[in-house]
Amino acid sequence: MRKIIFKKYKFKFKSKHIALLLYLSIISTSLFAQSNIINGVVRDAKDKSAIPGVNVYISNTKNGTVTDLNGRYSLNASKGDTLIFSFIGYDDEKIIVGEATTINVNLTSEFISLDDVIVIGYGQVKKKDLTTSVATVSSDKIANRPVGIISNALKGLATGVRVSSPDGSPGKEPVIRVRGITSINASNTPLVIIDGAPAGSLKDLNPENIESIQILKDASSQAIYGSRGAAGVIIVTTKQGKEGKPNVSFGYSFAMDNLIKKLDVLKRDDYLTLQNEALSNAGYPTIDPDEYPYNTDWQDETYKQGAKHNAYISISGGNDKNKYYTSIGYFKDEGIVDRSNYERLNIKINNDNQVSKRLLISSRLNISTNDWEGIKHGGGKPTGVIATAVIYPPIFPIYNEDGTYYHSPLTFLESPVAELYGSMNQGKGYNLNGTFYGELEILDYLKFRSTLSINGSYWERDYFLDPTITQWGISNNGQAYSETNFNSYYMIENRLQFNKNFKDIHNVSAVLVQSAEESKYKKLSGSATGYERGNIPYLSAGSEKTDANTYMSEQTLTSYIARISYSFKDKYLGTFNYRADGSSKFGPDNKYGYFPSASIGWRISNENFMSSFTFIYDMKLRASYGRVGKAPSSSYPWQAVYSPGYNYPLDGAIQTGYYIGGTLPNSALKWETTDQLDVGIDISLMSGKINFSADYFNKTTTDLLFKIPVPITTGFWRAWRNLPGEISNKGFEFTLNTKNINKSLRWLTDINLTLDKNKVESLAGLDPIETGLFQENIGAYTSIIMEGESLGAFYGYVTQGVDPETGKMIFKDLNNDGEISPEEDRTVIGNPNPDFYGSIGNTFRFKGLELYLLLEGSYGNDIFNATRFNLFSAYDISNMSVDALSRWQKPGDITDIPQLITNDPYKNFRASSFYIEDGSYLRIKNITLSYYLNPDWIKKIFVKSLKVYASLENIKTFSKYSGYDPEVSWAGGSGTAQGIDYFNYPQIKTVSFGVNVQF
Amino acid sequence: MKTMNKYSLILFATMLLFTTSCGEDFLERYPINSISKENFYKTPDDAESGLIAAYDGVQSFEYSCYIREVPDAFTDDCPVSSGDAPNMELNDFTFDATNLRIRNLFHVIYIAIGRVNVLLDGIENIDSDLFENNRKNEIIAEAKTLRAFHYFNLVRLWGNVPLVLSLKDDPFKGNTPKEEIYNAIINDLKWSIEQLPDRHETESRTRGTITKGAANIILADVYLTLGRWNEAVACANAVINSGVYNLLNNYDDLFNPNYENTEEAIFELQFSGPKEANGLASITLPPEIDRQWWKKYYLASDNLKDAFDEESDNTRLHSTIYFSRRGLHRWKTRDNGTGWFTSPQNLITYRLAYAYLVKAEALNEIGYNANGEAFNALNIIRKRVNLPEYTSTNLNNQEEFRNAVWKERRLELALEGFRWFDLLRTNRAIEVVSEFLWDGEQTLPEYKLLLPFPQEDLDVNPNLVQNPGW
Repeated sequence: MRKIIFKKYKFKFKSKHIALLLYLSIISTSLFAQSNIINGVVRDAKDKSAIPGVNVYISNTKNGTVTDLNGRYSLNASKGDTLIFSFIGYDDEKIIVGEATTINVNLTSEFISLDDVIVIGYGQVKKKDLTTSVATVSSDKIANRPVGIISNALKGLATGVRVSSPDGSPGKEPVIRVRGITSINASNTPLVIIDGAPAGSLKDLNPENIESIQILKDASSQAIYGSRGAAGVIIVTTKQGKEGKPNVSFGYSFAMDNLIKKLDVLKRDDYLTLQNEALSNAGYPTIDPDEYPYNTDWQDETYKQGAKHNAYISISGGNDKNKYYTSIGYFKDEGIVDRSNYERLNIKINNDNQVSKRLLISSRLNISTNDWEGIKHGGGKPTGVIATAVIYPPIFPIYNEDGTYYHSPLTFLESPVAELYGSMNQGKGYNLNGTFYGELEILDYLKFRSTLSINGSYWERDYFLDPTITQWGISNNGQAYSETNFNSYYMIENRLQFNKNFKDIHNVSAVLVQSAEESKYKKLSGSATGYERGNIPYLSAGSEKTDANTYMSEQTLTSYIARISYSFKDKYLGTFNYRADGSSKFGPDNKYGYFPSASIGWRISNENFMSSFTFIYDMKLRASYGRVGKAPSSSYPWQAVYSPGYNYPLDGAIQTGYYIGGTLPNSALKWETTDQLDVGIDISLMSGKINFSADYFNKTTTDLLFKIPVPITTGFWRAWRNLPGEISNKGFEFTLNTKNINKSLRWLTDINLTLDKNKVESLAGLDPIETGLFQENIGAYTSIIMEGESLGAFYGYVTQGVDPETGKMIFKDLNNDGEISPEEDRTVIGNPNPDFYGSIGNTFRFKGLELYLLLEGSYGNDIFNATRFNLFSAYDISNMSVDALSRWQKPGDITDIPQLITNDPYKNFRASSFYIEDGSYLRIKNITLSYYLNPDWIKKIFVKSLKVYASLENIKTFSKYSGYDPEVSWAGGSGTAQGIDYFNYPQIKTVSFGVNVQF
Repeated sequence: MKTMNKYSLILFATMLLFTTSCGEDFLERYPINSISKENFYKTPDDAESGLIAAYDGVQSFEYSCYIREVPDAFTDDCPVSSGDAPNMELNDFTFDATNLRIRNLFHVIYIAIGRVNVLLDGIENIDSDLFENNRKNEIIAEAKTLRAFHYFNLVRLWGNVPLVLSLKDDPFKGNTPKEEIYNAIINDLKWSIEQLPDRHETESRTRGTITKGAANIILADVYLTLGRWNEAVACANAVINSGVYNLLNNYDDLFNPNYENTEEAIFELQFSGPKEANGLASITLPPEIDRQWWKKYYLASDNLKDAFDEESDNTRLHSTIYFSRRGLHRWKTRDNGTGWFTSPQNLITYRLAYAYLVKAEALNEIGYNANGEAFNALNIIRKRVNLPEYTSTNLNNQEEFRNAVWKERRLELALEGFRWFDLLRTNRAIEVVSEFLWDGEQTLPEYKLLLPFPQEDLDVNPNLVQNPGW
């Protein structure tokens, strides 16, 4: 300690000096010889406001403090110590103590700033230099959401990206669509790239391991993925280790799930009244109430409270040579119906190793296992657990007196309880994803990276139909089916990257990539029957083995990519990409596809004439245009193949016949192409307090991969063709992020809005194609692919209420020819695509408390509620909706529900606007309240931060839809059969509690 | 560039190994589970397996079941409201072009035709010397006979259907006039008769696949339908005199699942459950047998039972109808197998009795001949089931004999899929249906004698014109 020189200064010895001396002497015993008091102010980098409550501590020690209300801190540290400044909502800042004793720090908000780096295909770009349309979702928006599968947390958070769950069953992966649906037969699912490798599924990731998600929306960003980019690209980057003392993070959350709402169906008395009315109107004998003295609420018997558990532990850290991030996560979802559940275990190991100054070796490893059980769905028939929970008659009991399951001779339906326990459907999966790369810095502007990515997936499924519970099972003597699947994949990629800045005026970056990938799939399946009891639900116990089969396929892809980007004085930006892809799925005529694209940007705010507009912090106009492609999902679509299995028994044995199958092949089959134009503007005002982006996009897809229906008179159903038709998606996207209040109370708002319109511009002369659910009893399909309409538009007759005189449904005679015929009187009756969708998110922070509120909605989407057939037609003595009480009974009645007559002889229930409902909804999607415990006292228990939170998901939905939930799709992700409800597993609302601790 | 240390040099070298270039055939992948076109239809075995696929086409559940159920549903053998909703529409003629059963039947017949056309296209390339004796032509003849049978069904039910005889035909071909279709059927059958043997190597193949007798009986049916009586008689005689077929002594044995491929069978569809199961059996069995009480399919009518009673025909009554608690069930398929859709019982499509009935009817049409060959033929059928024989005393003119044959056909061939075609070709359909459904108060419109082309197929093929009235 330096000698205090008393001579030069008149020094009065006051009490505070004594205190200071005492303090210093205490400290001096525990500090190294040269420790000093370091102090300073911590401010927000953007607007320079002081930040209270910032954690300031010395790396590798427990010494630290917290900034006061004026942002000031004061702490003892030695030269060479690393001070770390950390606060929620900001990026950590590290400063090494030097000679100075005052260290002021500016913390950068996590709020996406212009210097933030955005991951694009095969590289990264600063947001300010981005000329293409990319949506970013950062990890804090998805952390702590009680969802388990990451895609569920993305709903509403990115413009142009529509995420919807077809149903609420545990483990169900939602459907993601980027800027609309472009293909009829090829997949509309975006390409998912995890840590640089196009293998693996979002479902297998632990959301906690994700650093950020970027979604590439326009051609220029997608074209670099060429043949698979047409449906959008989702790039997931997992967390990397950072330099510093090991950071241990632990979290646990528990959620309670419930059915959002029950459907209102009839109870016993009303049921008997209506059913007997229907039966006697049709001339059938009625049901005798005395024979069935029960009043069972089947929904109550079927649904229960579900639960979710999520736990994780992660360790990360490193030094300047080596960084690591390791994590183990566990997730379990018990559904709201018994025997529907999903369990997942994740292990993540990420490493970055700077082997030498110029060589970096990195690895990203993800191992996941899952275990699930699922309940039966009847497909196009109202069998299955959910359907029977709604429509099974209330007059039956669950059990007979002897304890066996009750069956009724009056209906082919079973009770939902019998359906639930009458069959078993379960499976497991194991996935290993590994990406390894070495990056060599040849010159400081030239890097070479070589990557090897491998993926091995194994999944299996076992199904068993119990021979003792359902009528179906009894009459079949039980059935078992098992399958095992294995998929192996590898990719080798070599990349040369060039980045050079010339005198701060010209910035050039370029990348050249060569890659090859191969995927192999094998499936083994078997089935058996002849079971007497259900106690061994596997193939081994069946006395008759009925089938054994293998299926194998392979596919390969080779690609060559080049991209060059140039910017002049940070003002004029341009990029050009070119990609060539060759695929084994296409024949020799068209194996390769070529995909160019370009984008330009103009940073108007850097122009001299803009310098007077100081409130405009940044303004950039950008435009892009390009071509991307798509291949069909099947492996060998262009080939004619003879398969066995067309058998006929002769001479006491089954003779094997060979045949081509139902599709005519096509050796000229080629890539489907999508051309997209995007024009956008990004504006940042008031030093980043207000950030606004708007995009207009226009994409058209042609050479549609299509199995065109051919007349059955050819002996075939369909033929593969590239249809020279056209499907377009046009729309607008708007994003607004604002920092409304930025003092001790902080309030941020994020608004996303997407308007998009999908249209089948041309079917190249083909007649409209009916698709969707084919319901036998409605006698038609629900949807249609037709020129001038959206894909998946609903098609049918138009109803005009019920004729008060006769009780029959009136169908509009569209061509006024006095007849109602299928060719002339059916038309488009609804559209499952929304007019617009989006979300509003608000975040409030005050001291350690944070409140997040997310509203999400969709407007203008219709739903084809096919359940209305069973709920209003009295078919097969099913239970009905309470709304059926308003049915027509006598002449003069004005109503929308026709007279109840068993078997619908007047076909009142044919496919018509009777089934179309408005699916628009607004949901309070998420409310999360978190509390960060005061850092000072938690330090005493060696904890760096402790957060507790409560979260509500789907807590309230405003919608006119009468079914379980307006977010529903019977056909899953199908682009041509959307928005159909037919007894899907309902969505849930969740209350969850959790805690995150960092050591 | 600074010198790299040894470690990083090794790593860099390893990375360079990754820069492998891919061979040309990296992108050539062929299916592993199946055979691509380049490698098939090269040997006689390929042709035989293609022929099996053709038999599989006519034996498919939907074809074998619906070709019997759909026509029967229109007749007085089938009560109104028998079966599920699409079927009930058939019973009372309230169906339209969207009816599922009609659509499915139309489709499966053309699929079966496709099986034949693919075989004919492929077998062209195989040298006939590779086959034993005349087997190449025999295969072609078996296939063409099957195809003739398919078109015979199509033309009777739908009228002017598109005639597609080759894979190379225009996929969007429109309607073909009936006459042309019948000509094609007759030509194919006549050629096939020349090529086919009387018997195959085994009983199973003789009854289960196409022989000269099968082609002849189908041709006899065609001539009968067209009113070409002399030719019909010639074909029927060819079958009767071939020595391959004999009537069973016990009528009921024909439908007893324990007796398969009997001497009376000319063409018997082979089933072996559960992999090649007889679906018709599962659908029609009475609930006492299979415990499926919810089933309402395909009952038999009181009208049919009365017809048996009027004739005091107890033998055939009890072989045809099962008196179930639920109603009069069909009884010509009886084996339940081991559960739903596992019945191994075969289905006889044509049997020797048919030849005698054709002979009796055709001879009578040529000219009434008291106690002549026509009477012999008819009486052989009656004697088998212990019914009194006819003489010129009970049937003393052509009209009476004709009615007797028609009545005999109804009872002998009940529920085997012939009734509707009989009513059509003898112009009794409108009268019988109107009487049965509406007691004559309403008349069945004539256009309904032809089925509508399915709406789906009209939508796909603009060249296909719907039958008038629909």
